[in-house]
Amino acid sequence: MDLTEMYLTQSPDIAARTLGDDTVIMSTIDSTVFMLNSVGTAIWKSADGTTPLSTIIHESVCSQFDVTDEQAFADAKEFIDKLVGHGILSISESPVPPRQAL
Amino acid sequence: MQPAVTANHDVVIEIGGLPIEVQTTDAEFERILRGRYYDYIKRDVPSQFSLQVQLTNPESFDPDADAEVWLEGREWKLQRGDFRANWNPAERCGKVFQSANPYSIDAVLRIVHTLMLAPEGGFLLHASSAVRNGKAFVFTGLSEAGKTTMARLAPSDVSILTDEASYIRRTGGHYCAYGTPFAGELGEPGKNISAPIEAVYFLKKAAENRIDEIDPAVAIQRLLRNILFFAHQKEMVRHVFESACAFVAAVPHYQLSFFPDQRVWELIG
Repeated sequence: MDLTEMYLTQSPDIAARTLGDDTVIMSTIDSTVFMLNSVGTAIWKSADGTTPLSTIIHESVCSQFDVTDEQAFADAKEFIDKLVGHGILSISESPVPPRQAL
Repeated sequence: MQPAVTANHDVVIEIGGLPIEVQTTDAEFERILRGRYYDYIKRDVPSQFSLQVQLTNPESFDPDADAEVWLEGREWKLQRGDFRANWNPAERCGKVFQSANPYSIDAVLRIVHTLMLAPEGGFLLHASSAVRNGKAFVFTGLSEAGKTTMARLAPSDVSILTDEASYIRRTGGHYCAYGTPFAGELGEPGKNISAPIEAVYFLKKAAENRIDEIDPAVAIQRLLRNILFFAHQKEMVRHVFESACAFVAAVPHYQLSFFPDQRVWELIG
């Protein structure tokens, strides 16, 4: 799967809090807790369903941290696979419209 | 002919300032309750909460098994091999089916208290806690981290609230720790007192004693590992998460590396 043009969306079944550069996330499905470092937090905060991953990596990761696009993608894939596996993030091939308020 | 009258052997057990009337018609079960919770039994205290106990034969008896807790409509269901129970938060009452033993009602009380505390931002924490100079200190960590050790090492001017399950309640923006009858390896109920929480320490056994500041995000993560909650239901999980975040924001959290002898208490209070 080519991640570069994928879209990430935060799951609604979580509780999260960003403190400084770190983010704590708890799944409301199975109560698993995740801790994101500064890079993970940057990706998480940009996971709005409408920003392609390539843009997230380039603008939120490479521009702030001293890494190449290739290294950033390699690290991001591992991170994303883990969070998608636990249902914290979802990934799609097309933009996901924002949830409509009821 | 006069109808038979079933005597009331009800007992009000107050933990964390929340009195629950445990209703039973069995004199022997009343004796068990009074023996186990003696320092937490209240007389002439009106109780807004009640648990009606129906003594039965359990399907199995394994007090170390995990309890299942789930929401059906507006009522919580609690189940373990040795008891079944329900709790209606809106009606503030519930029913327990168990045999005449203290372990089942103990588990039910813990679970019901967590359900009562969660919407208020409070919780039970797998931690020992103690009061010194009018302030409460909480010591938490995974198994074998030293929670009971801290309680055992406490000098005479320290009152132990619990060595097992710390009761943390939020009032306004402040947090207090309360004594509980939920004993761990120490085998004794805690003192039935309370005090504002001065600090929380995450324990780590080490060659020397020191206190280190920890990152708030790390504190939240570690706290969540040790909060006792049984109902893995979405709204309840959110309550627990938000409670942990608010608690870390309001109360200082540190890592306490300690050598297990009494000198560690020179750093506390």
